[in-house]
Formats: sequence, C-alpha cells, structure tokens
Amino acid sequence: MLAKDNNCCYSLVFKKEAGPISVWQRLKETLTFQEPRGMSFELADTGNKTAGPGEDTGDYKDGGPAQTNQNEPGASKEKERTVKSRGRSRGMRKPVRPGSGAQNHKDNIEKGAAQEKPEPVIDPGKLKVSGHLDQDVAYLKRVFHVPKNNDVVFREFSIGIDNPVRAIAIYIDGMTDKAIQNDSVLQPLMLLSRLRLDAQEGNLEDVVRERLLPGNQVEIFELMRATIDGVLNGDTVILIEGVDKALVMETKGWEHRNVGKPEVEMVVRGPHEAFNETFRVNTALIRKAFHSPDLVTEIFKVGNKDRINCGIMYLDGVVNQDLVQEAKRRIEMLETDYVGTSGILEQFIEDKTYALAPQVLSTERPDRVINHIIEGKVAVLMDGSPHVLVFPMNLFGILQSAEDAYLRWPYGSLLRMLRLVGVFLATFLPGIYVAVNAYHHEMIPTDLLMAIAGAREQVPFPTIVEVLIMEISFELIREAGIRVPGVIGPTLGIVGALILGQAAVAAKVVSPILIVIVAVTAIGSFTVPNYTLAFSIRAVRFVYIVLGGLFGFFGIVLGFFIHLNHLSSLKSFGVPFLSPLGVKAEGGDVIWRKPIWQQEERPGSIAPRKIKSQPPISRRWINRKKGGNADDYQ
Amino acid sequence: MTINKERIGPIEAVSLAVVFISAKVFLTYPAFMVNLGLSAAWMVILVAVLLSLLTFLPLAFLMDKYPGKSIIEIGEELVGPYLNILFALGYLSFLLAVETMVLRQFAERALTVSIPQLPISVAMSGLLLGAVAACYLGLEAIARSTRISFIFIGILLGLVIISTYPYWSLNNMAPLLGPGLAEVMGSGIMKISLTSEIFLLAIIYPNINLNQNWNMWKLGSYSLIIAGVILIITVVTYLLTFPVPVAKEIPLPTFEMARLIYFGRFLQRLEPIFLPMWALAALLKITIGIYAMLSLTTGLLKLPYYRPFILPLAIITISVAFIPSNVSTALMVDEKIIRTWGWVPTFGLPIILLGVATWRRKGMNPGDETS
Repeated sequence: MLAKDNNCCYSLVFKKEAGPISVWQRLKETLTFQEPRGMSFELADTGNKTAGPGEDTGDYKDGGPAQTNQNEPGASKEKERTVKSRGRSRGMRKPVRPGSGAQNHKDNIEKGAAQEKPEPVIDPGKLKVSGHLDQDVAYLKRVFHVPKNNDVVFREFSIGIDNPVRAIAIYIDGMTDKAIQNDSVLQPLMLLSRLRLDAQEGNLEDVVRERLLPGNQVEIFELMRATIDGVLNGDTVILIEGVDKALVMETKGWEHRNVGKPEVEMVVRGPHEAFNETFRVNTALIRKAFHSPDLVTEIFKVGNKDRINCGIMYLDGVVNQDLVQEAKRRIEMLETDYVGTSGILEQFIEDKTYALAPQVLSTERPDRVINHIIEGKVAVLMDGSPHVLVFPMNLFGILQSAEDAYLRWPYGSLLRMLRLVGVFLATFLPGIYVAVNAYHHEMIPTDLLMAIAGAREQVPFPTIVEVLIMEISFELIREAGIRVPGVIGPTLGIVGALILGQAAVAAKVVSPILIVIVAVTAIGSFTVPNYTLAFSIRAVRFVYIVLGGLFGFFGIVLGFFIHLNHLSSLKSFGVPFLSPLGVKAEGGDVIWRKPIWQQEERPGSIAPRKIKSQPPISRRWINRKKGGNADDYQ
Repeated sequence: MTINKERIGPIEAVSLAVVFISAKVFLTYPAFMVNLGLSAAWMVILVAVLLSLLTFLPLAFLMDKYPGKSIIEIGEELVGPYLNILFALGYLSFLLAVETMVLRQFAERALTVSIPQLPISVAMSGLLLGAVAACYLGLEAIARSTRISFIFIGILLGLVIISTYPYWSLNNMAPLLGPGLAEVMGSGIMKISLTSEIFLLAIIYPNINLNQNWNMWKLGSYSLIIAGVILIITVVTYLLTFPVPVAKEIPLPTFEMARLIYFGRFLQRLEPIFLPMWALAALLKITIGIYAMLSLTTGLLKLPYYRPFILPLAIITISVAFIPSNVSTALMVDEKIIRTWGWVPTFGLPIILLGVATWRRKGMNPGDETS
C-alpha cells in the first residue's frame, strides 16, 4: 500500500492478510515482484500508525529500495499487467505512484487516511471511572500510549490479605517520591491491611482513604480527566476493582532547582530570594512572606496537550473582582496545545499584541509580587516558569525597582528620576545627536561645534550612517554577550571594546564623540529595570535615529507624537497604560515617592475595592495624648 | 472602532478644547493681534474671550438640554435630517477651513525654523501622518496625549516667557488703550471667532463622561478662560519684549522670543529645544480638528465606524491646504475670512437651534428625550 513517511513521501506498504504463505511463494513474489498472495494494496498514513515494540499490527513496510524500484520509469510492463489483472479480480486498487496524477493521488491519500484513522479516544473530561479495573486500565494505557510509552508505570497489587481486592497504582517514573510511595501507599495497602474490607461500613474508597492511606493529600475523583492530570503531575493514582472512583495521592517528588538569588532584578537592600520553576515553591515563597487568610490562590489547567498548572493569586477584599474574573476568563478560554511558560502566557492574555511595550509585568521577585498584590493587582504563576506575571500594570510600575520602596523616600525618588533620565537618553540621545549634527548646528555652542566638526573631519560617513553602524555593532555585541558561552565571555568583551572603541576611532570609521554618545545610550538603557521594556526602547531608538536623520527635530517630535498616542491607547486589562498620566486617578506611587506615612491610597486607576491602605495617621505613636486609637480608621 | 464607545473625562475634554483654541499662539496670531490692537492687543483678546463666553452660553444651554447627544443629533431632532445637512456642512466647512490653513501655516513655519531644505509637501504629509495615526488610535488616545502634551507645552512656553524677562520693557505697553477704547472693543467684537474652536465640545459631547460636577457650561467656560489666559499672557509678553512697530512685522512671535534667550555663552540659540512645543501643538491641533471632522461625518451619515474616513479626509485636507499660493495667502484667508466669519457656524447656528428648541418646546422635558 502507499504510505507517507516522515518526509511526506509516499512508499508502497504491503498489508499482510490472514493465511499461510509458503517460502516458495514468498521467494517467487520477491524475485518477480508480483503481488504477494494475501496482500492488499491500501493507503496508510504511517505518521498516525507507528507500531510500538512488541505490538503486532500486521503491517510491514517496503522501505526505500522498494520505493526506488517502484519509481523507476522503466518498470516492466508484464509486472504492471500482472498487478493490474490480479488487482481487478480481487477488487483491489492499483497503487498510485507519486506524481502520476495529482488529483488521483490526493483522493487516495484522503481515502487512505480515512481507512487507517485510529479510533478516537473518548474525551477523558467526559468519561468516568467505570469500576471495571481491566477496562479502566486499558483505557488509561491507551491514553498514555502504553506500552510504547515507558514512563508510565502500572503497578498491580492486592489490597488486604484475608479477602484481597485487586488494585493498581499508576504513576510516572521519576516524578514521584519513591519513599512516599513505598511507605505510604504500597506498604499499608499490601502488607498492613488485615481489615475485612467487605465488612466495613461505607464505600471501599472511603475506607482506603480514611484508614489505609497515610498520605497528607488523598483525593477521590470520578472523571478520568482528573485521574490523568494526577498522573501527569506526579501523583499516584490508585484504581480498585469494583470501585468507580479513582484515589489520587500526592506523591510529587521530582528533582528541581533550589530557591536562588534573583538573576535580573537584584537589589542591595531587600530580600534576595527569587522564584524557581516549581509551582508550589513559588506559591509558598509568596505565602511565607505574606501571611493573610485573604490571599487567595485559584489553580487551573492551561493548554490542550500540555495541561500545565496555572494559578492566580490576589487579595480578596481589596482586588476588584471584575479584574479577577477577566483574568480567569482570558486564561481559561485559551484554546492552544502548549502554554509552556509565563512568557508565552503573557503573549496570549495581553490586551494589544502588536504593541511594542509590555503590558504585563514579569518579575522573579516574590516581594515585588506581594507589593502589587497588596495594591489590588493580580499575579499569575505558572508551573515551570520562574517568572510571575502581574497586572494591570502601567508604564511607571514597570519602570520601578523593588529597591525603590525599601529605601527612604528621597533616595527612592532620586533613583526613579535617574531611571527616567536613563530611559530618555536610551530612547532619544542618538536621534537627537543625528538631528543636531545634520540640521540644528546653531544650538551647539561654537567651541563644542568646532570640537565635533574637528573630530568628524576625517570620518567618511554621514552622521546617520556613523550612528547606525555603531548602534548596530553595539546591539550585536549585546546579543552575542547573552548567547556566548560563559567561558569565552571575556574574549567577547575584549573584542567588542577594541573594535568599538579604539580601533573604530583609529581607523576613522567613527568619531570619538560618537563613542561617548553610544556609551551613554547604552548605560541609559541598562538603567531600565525591566527586560522586556528595554527591548521596546532598543527598537524604538532606531526609529528615532532614522527620523532625526531625515527630518531633524521635526521628525523626532513627529515620531514622539505617534509614540505617545500609541502608548496612550494601550491598556493593561482595561487600565490605561500611561495612568495616572493623562487620566484622573488618585493615589499611587508613581515617580515621586512620598514619605511612607503619606502613602495612604492604593492606585485608583486599577479601581481596588479598598482605596485606603492606611489611616491618615499611620504612625499613631506621634499622638501621645491619645496613645493611639485603632478605631479612628476602619 | 466604534465612535460612541470611546469615553474621555471632563479634564481631558477641557485639555482638548484648550489646545485646539490656543495652539494658534505659536503661529502669527500674536502679531496679527498687535496689528489690530497695537499696544492694547491683549485687550482685544480679552474682549473677544469675554464675548465668546457670552456667545457660548446658548450652545451650552442647548447641549445641556440634550445630554448624551452631539450637535448633529440635536440638529436632526430639531430641524429634521435635510436641513440638518446644511447645518452640518456649515460646521464641516469651518473645521476644514481652520484645519487646512493651520496645516499650511504650520508646515511652512516648520520649514522656516527647522529644515528649509524640506519640500512643503513632505512637511504637510508628515504632520498629517501624525494626525492620521493618532485618529486611527482613537479619541481616548488623543485626549490622553493632549493632556500629557499640554503639561510639556505649558512648561516650555512658560520657560520661553520667563526667559525673555531681560528684554521686557513696560514702555512697549503704552499707550494702554492702544488705538482707543472704541477701536479695541470693535476689534474684539469682530474677532469673536478667535475662540470658535470651542465648538469642538459640542461635537465630542457624547464621548465625555460627565458627573454632577460638570456640565457643558462648566467645560466650555473653563476651556475659554484657560485658553484666554494663555493667549493674553503670550501677547502681553510679546508686547513687553518687542516694541509695537517690530511686533507687527514678526511672522512667528514665539519663535522670535525663543531666539532671544541667552543664558550665557554656552546656553544660547536654544530655539530647537523649544521646537517640540511648536510641533506638538501643531500636531495636536491638526489631529483634534481631523477627529472632529470624522466625528461630524460619521454622525451625519449615521455610521458606527469612523476609521474608513480617516484617509479620505486627510487627502481632502492636504488638497485644500495646497490651494493658497503661499503662506501669506493662507494667513490672509485665516485672519480675514475664518476669524471674521467663523462665529456664524459655531455660535450662530447653535443659537438658531436653541431658538427652534425653545419654540418647539422640545428637550425641556426629560421625558421627551427618551421618546
């Protein structure tokens, strides 16, 4: 029959039918290439039908040589005639060679696919555990592609000694803690159970859960979906003969990274913990630093193929419930096979996907997440992702660093001002330099103008080309610096510094003052505390360089106007991205930090249910007469 | 994007109106006012602004009687769809005339102060490109950008005004009444159209989120007073800086004021630093005007989406802007025609509508509005 291989080529595959074949007949068929007795020609999509080890599907393939043989233009007429006549007499179809009639070929593929399509597996979300152990196990084996798939273990055993009941434990090897499994699952069920199970009151599954399984989390599910999710998440699923429910015991125990220091958002003063790839470790990092019963974690699965744990955390009573509902709606309604990390999820749930600026904060710091949750925002954690998403987020929130809050207000404000200057320089400085050099000489003081002109005298390129060369070179070095293996990292630094710095100036490719401009721009861009926002600034900078080169300041202002309008039109979960700039919103800690006792309001732009975070007099110790009265503020 | 879905706050609306009215200070208007009122030019503006407050009153009454409706919808309800077309064409003509002349003047001035080598078509296309992009993003984006830009423009204008302090001379303001009280009053009455752009509020009225503290009168009066203050302060500073005979001849007064700035040998000739002030004001004014035309057009045709009209309107605007043979002609059309007769569609037609509303006793009863 004609079968598609991995390269989408089609080869003849002969399907063996029932009936003995003699050695002589097989030899004859091989030598003369006549149709083998008891074989039919039909199409099969091998991509969907791969036999596992030990699985006898009755198929075997005639591989490359046969295909070559069949594709030979000079195949003997006698052979074709034989195949044709026998095929007709047995109601068989002639095999179609690739390229011998596109439509016919397509029809055959469709028919073949229809014939060989495997029977669909029933949706586990709709199927309940039947209570017939063999039937349920067969279903699960099919779902997990056992025996092809060697990761999933089906461990059969008997519960009880006097009147044993058949049971099976299902788990994925490597994802479970073997000690827990042995001590808390198999040992009590197999060895320690001397109970007469049939004489116990209540259902068997309840008895097993309440009296036999000493695990800290044992849940009972009816649907196969929960059973499968349990296995995939490192739990041990126990099915018992005659019980139409599955017991899922928490036995997670895979290898994972320990809690380490933040790699990107480092601070001098403040916690030095960062999230890692384990979902429960991340939730615990938040919980252990923020002790409130109002902190709620809702967990659900995302993705069709990779059903990954995703949790949203918020402070009930403070957060706007519309925001929570919207967040859940966006995540739960995702219809995609794979949402592997928070970076992918961010792209799926953000408001404007074509925008340059990130509309969601991605952070690796638990303390930063907590600060935002207290303000009334929502955090999204994903299993396998060391970054947590926080929204709604505005531009100023993204530009803030965790450290701003841990320092006294003058220092925090100063740092933010510096950062804004850095953002301005990183965005506009090369463009302004090009514009001033090309069109607005009059604004440069004469001495400086002479210095610039003197330095550029021997440079053969116009300013814009010079700037573009340097900026692109710098971006290349930056990208290479991230990708290069750590061992040869210093080499890159030397090469970059030499080429960009000294050699380019010595070769009169660029002027020395441009090196200063590019260096200041680079330093400015390094002050941007958010990795994704820095990307946005890097991209926009080139636009401003080109606009400055084409139209001078007029072009830069034109670009700024469009850029400003674009940013003004952005929203993060319905909250304007530039808020509180340009919209009326009370409170919030934006650029200028107030003293901590004056920060009484949560940002009004996100419409929290509780706007006040502390009373007008938070430092009640200053009121010596009253001695403090908590009733002043509710 | 559906035009009615966009909502802006009262302060954003005031910012839009203020910028739309007062962006003209960056063109030749201060010099033109000096031509009219000599050393009392600021009084001409004062009279014009006070009078426009009075003439805005009927429009405010009319709009507040029909909350949530634009001037087009009100007109249709009062005078019927056919006569309303004439009214709408009147509003559109005013806006188109303002837009085209302002576009031409700003483009010409951009060449003068920034890059003389640039073809005028490119400068005009650039300004329109910004306006088209902003209109595409919608009223919310425009309003927020205006509110943000307003702060920057205000700071830069304040810097220009304060920095010319060394050149101020009170003698330039004498005689106080300029050509005489009667002539000042007459010029003020004639130039009532100086603030005709306040009509913008009647167009975007359904998009403004009004609470109990705000109504059309408050929006309009705040806008007119703030814009009037900006215009008067700029003209007063201009008069203080330059003597009247010189002030009459300067084509770009604020630019000339910026050129005077001298903080020392190192900090001088800073006018390019103030270029964002001119360019942003120009872009905002053109954007707001085009959006107002879009809103009028879609309202008149009862269409839910305005984006398909952006490009056609931009092409019409640039085509009309090229009709004047030079910037002097554009300036003359602006001053002699638009600023003399602009009050007819913007203040006159609403008075007629209010008269009809009163006569037909429509809109007085809130129950009528829902029927």
